[in-house]
Amino acid sequence: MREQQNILQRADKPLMIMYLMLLTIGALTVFAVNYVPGSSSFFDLSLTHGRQMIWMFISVLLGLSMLTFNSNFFTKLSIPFYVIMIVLLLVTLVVAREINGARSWLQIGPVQFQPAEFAKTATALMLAKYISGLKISDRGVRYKFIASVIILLPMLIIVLQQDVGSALVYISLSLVLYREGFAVREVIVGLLFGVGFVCSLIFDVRILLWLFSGVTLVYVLLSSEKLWRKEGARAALFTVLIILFFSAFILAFYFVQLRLVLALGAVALLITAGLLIRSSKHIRVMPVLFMYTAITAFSVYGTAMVMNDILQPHQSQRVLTLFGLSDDPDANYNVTQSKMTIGSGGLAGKGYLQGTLTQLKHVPEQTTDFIFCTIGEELGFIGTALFILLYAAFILRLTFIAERQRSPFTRIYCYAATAIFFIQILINVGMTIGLVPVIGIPLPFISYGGSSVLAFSIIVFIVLRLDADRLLILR
Amino acid sequence: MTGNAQFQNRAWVIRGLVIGVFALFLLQLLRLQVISSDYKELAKDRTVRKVTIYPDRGQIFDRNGKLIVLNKPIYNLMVIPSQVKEMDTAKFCALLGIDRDYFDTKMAAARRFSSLHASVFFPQIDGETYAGIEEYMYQFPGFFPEIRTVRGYPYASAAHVLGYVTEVDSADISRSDGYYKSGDYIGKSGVERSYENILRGKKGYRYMVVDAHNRLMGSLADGTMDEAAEAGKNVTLTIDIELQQFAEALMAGKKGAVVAIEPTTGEILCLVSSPTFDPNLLSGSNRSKNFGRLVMDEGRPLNNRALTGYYPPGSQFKAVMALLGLQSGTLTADQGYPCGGGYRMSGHTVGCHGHPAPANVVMGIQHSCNAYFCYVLRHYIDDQEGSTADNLALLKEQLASFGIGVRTGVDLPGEKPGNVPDPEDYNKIYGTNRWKSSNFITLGIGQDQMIVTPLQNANLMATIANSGYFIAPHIMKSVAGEDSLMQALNRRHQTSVNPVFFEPVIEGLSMVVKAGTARVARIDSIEVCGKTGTAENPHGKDHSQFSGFAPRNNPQIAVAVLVENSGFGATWAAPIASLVMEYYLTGTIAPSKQYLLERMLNANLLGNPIVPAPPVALPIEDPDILQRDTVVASR
Ligand SMILES: [Zn+2]
Repeated sequence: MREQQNILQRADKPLMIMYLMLLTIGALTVFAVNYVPGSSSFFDLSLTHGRQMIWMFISVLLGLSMLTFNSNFFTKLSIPFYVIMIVLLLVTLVVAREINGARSWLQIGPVQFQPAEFAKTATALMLAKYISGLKISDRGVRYKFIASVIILLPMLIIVLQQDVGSALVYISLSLVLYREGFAVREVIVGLLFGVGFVCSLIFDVRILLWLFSGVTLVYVLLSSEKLWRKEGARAALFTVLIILFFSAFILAFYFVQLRLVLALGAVALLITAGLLIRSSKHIRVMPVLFMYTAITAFSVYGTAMVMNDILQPHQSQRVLTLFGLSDDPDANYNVTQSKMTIGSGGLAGKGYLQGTLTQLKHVPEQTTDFIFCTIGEELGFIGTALFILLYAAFILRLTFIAERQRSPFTRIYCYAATAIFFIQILINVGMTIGLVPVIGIPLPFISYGGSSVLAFSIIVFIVLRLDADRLLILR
Repeated sequence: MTGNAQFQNRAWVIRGLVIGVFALFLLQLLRLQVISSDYKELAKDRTVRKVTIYPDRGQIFDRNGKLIVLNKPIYNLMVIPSQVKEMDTAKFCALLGIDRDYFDTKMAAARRFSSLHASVFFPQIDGETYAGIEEYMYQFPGFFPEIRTVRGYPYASAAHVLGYVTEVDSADISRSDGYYKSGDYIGKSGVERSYENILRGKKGYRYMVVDAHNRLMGSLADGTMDEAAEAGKNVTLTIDIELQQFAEALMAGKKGAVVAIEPTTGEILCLVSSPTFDPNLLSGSNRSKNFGRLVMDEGRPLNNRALTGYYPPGSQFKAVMALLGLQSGTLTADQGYPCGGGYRMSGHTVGCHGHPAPANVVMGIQHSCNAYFCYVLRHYIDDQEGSTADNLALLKEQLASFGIGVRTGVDLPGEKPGNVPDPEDYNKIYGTNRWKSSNFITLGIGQDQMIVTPLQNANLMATIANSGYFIAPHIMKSVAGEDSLMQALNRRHQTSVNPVFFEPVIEGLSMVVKAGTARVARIDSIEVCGKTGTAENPHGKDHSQFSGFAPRNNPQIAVAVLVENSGFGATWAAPIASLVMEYYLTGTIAPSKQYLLERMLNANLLGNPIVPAPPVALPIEDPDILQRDTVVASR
């Protein structure tokens, strides 16, 4: 008991208070969404928001009990937890029935849950465990490869479960890699990989080719700054060869008959450029070009596969809608309805429980993916702004907690938590206000859903537990 | 530890990214919620749906209280694609009489529009047909009827007067300052157009609350915000529908026009443009097909010849010329002029037919002497003070006071002004002021560049019947609560000719019928005044014309009749005008005139009449004289 009090005293108060505030807002909002004037009681636990409150209660209880764990428990747990989650994801892929177009729900007795929600935590812990176990001098190519695989493995399985939203969350972990010493360009290439994955669903693949080529070219030229300074002529010749390589490579996609010739020409140009630059230590072009070729090949050949096999029709339609490429009124419907509902709130909102559009079930998925609309309608700009600021403070607080750690494990884990919350909010709020494609992903602590509240709470409580020991242990 | 220090500044990059994204969100929220009102407006439209209630158009009655335009229900079959369930499509198609292609095309179009909102699947099913389908409709969820009304015309007559109603086009919408919305109906011609604002009523609105799936959730604020629709006002026209039908029957098989006016009030008793058509053709489901047929028809049945037909007035004009001469003082009532078979000028002769020498105005009119009125014009132009051009301008001005060369102001759309030449016209032909009265001497006998519509002719006769004034011809007799409108319609126009000068002219017109060129127009026991006219037609046979009024004392009806390409005025126009007057004044046709009635009804001057005489009880003693079968078959 004394131990626990100690822990509570040592836990980060601001983060805890913000967490509780968000949970409260979540409970009130879920109640507002399902509110029927004159017949709803806030304390009726049989209703939707009642079930949500039970889950919140369980989450807080579980979280508090987790504070009593030894913080070493989490480092030790990392690897088994990650392995178990990967297995669970694979099991889910096989046994799950389709719900809302995705095979991501696992049924155990009466309880339904989404392993993907918990796999985020497992991946964050695993990443922290792996990176913190290495000396700085050991962080070479092998390190970068393994770190990438830790992130990409669950992501790939989740993509196969046709849960694109959850899969996109893993892209955010590249922020952690960035903080842990990945070069900016490597992170950019990684992000490009992720963004390219989404974009390749939207744009003509040939435009993507030009995009990737441009980015790669700029990347190569910038990273060879020293080369330009010392060996201008060789750099110029190299640049010309690389431009010719890109041209031949791109033209290969346009001219079907000449494809083989052009492809061979591109390879020849690439080898010439490589030989020319071989002796220079100022540029490392081969990994970049390898990455480039991989990404293009993935976007070009992956597009058809992803569009047709992985992405649900409604999802690809929504992606198209965001970019104004679809005139299907029903696909536009969700975004327009959502923006209308938020817009109708005006500056001060219609008042809590006064959201007419909310009560009319104006927006689809209103308790889950589009719950932000209700905040927008009932509390207006004042409410949404305060809400956004609260989230910003919450996330920034996470980064401050991360930076004050002596333990790399805790730091990495805190950054993973930061990244996960950040992308969840980025995608969820972004889609409701029309800045991001409509991709089903919950708003942490607010959206209805037991798995989601529990999983996000666990992430927060692990941060609190690890942080509480920041002065005691150096892991 | 060292690794931490090395990349610590990156924490700020990450925080910067977070702050940047959240700032972007705040800006977008500011735009959506505070700055832009687009989404608020949209929100009103989408969730609180404004359902338009279409008012019934006003019904139209004739002067005797007979209902001539009514509303009948039709059904637009609507579909909401998202509510369509699996169904027996073959049966559905069979019920509607459509094929699978139509079904697929329409469903695809409806889905393209929206799967949640209703689109028209099959428009304008008439009441009887719908009754046959109704009992099966429950088998086809997602389909439902929308009731609208279309116009019905029990007398199948007076198409040009009544006009027709159709869906608004984009021009109507942009002109209307936001009143009309796509799918609304609007009067496109005739009374329907000129009294659109009165007939259409006021659209009402019901504010219905619907959810994102377009399911009805109830009415907003218990309907307190709803605006009730106001039905259009019923109106009574000046038309006598039976007279109209009678005149139409007489004109069947002929091209031309009949206009009858009550002189003391300016009320139009009938207005016929022939060929005409059954107005029911332009209402309901086959509207566009029928409209296309009428547009393509060589007889131009959609033209309203009574208001827009351009014809030289011919000898009918002589009555006006006499009045202007008398008023100017260049003619006295007992002035005689020689007529040795015509009016001789240096270059050529205006010919005349054999008749006693016209010793005065009455005889000039009675015998329709060309020479006499050439003299009248010459003296009018040459003997008055002022130049030739001045006096021609005066002539034009005085004619305008008779409603000639200007629009009479009838309350029907599309009226044309006709034409009276002015000095500029002759300046162009002969050079400025290098012309004199002999250059346009035939103006005196209603030729040269004189153009008059049948309506203007009828109005002219009403003016003469009134001895010097007219009320602008109008079609609207009464609308409840529109007093100022009725006052405006009944404004009196005084001519520039002193009433005393009308007496000899009226005597002349009476003599025309008693003992002149229009003896065929006589009616037993009623003194008819009138004047034939034979309008020269450079493109073929002359147009037969007659205009007149009756009875001479206390005139009740003024009529103008024009029958295209049929020769002398006395042959067709005069008998038709006479029958119209007799029917109106006595309610029947005397036995002695039955032969004339028979001849007029059966005369087919076109070879192939477009539309049959309407099926009405005509004042005919032996119905067999109407050989309508041939006409019906040609439909
Ligand atoms: Zn003569």
